[in-house]
Amino acid sequence: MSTDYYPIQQPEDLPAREREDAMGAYFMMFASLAAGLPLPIINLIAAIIYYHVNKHKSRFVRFHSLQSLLSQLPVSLLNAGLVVWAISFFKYDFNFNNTFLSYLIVVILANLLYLGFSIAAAIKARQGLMYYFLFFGKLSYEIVYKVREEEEKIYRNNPPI
Amino acid sequence: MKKRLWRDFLILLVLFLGVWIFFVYFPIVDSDEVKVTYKYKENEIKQKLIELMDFKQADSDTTQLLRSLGELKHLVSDKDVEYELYYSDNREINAYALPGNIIVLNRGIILECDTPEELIGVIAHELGHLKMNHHSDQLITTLSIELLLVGSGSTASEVTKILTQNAFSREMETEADDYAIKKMKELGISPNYLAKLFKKMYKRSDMIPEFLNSHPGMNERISKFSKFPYEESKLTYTFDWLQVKNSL
Repeated sequence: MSTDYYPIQQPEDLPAREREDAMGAYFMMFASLAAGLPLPIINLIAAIIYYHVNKHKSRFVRFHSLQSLLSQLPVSLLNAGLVVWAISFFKYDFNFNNTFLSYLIVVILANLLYLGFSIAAAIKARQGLMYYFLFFGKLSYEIVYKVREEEEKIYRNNPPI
Repeated sequence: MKKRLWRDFLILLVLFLGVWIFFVYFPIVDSDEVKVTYKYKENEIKQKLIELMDFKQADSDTTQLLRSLGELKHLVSDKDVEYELYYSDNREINAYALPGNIIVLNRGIILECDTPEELIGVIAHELGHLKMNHHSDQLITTLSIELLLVGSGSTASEVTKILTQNAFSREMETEADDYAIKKMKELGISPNYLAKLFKKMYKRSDMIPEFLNSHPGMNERISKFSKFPYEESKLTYTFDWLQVKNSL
């Protein structure tokens, strides 16, 4: 198994179009938020679509799209957890305890952090720079930039035996 | 690289759980405090409502009506809930429980009741709402929904709020009905009395009472209360119900 990585493009090698596409990955959530959709899962679906549309573009765009998508996963799960918890109040006994309040605070903090880091990453992407989130940055780099053997395999056409 | 990935993942997990556990033990807002603040606000709302709506308190010993309502209030009691019963000079067939442990009976609903037992059933239903803290729960639930939908002030979010809150309300009504059945049985009154009242209301199809909007289906309720055989109530009162109604 190869441990080589494709070279990272430098800002001067990146055309403006690619930088904008990379920046767009982080702005997807604002679009779905502005649409006023109360389901947090909508943001995630938008990010998945954006990644699939852009995954065949340059590795720089693919990296930012994937980082945006992966970092959105836990935030969306946390938000969905909050929705499910709140809905359970309608169905079962109402239990407005400290565990729920703390979870609410954690979710708000996670969303704020995600928002802050996304804005920072979007600005960096626009400048043609890489920006690595904790864990998700490394994971996205590993997936996008690692050289895989199957990619290197050269297929040749041969006459019938 | 794999090792560093696992390390980062663990850092995130510890951060998440750490912050959560920290706020559980050192809360910024204590859930009990939220409830206490709500209780304070509840009393403020109560006084303003009484003034604004010109409600008359039962048992205030001024008129035959208020005295008789006071008598009914003493019959329908619960050791856990100290409530106040009020009369409102409103022709709408309605009764409701309000924040601050208030039950209000409109003139319309009193006139609709042929016997005091039917009105006892109505009071017991409203007492059920107070007993189960439905107001407090609904307020906090509304607050939670507001927080969840923050930043998405669109029609979609409004619709979600209305739908979920109505579903909640219907469940509360069923709980209050069950409480009324229990309370009526305790007093030796057949819950069938309430079925009779509902049937009368049902016939007035052009005048569906406001308080039934969020209630479970009328047919469903009539059959629920009709399951209990009708038995003449053995309760005695110091007033004549017909005279009370005529005084209105």
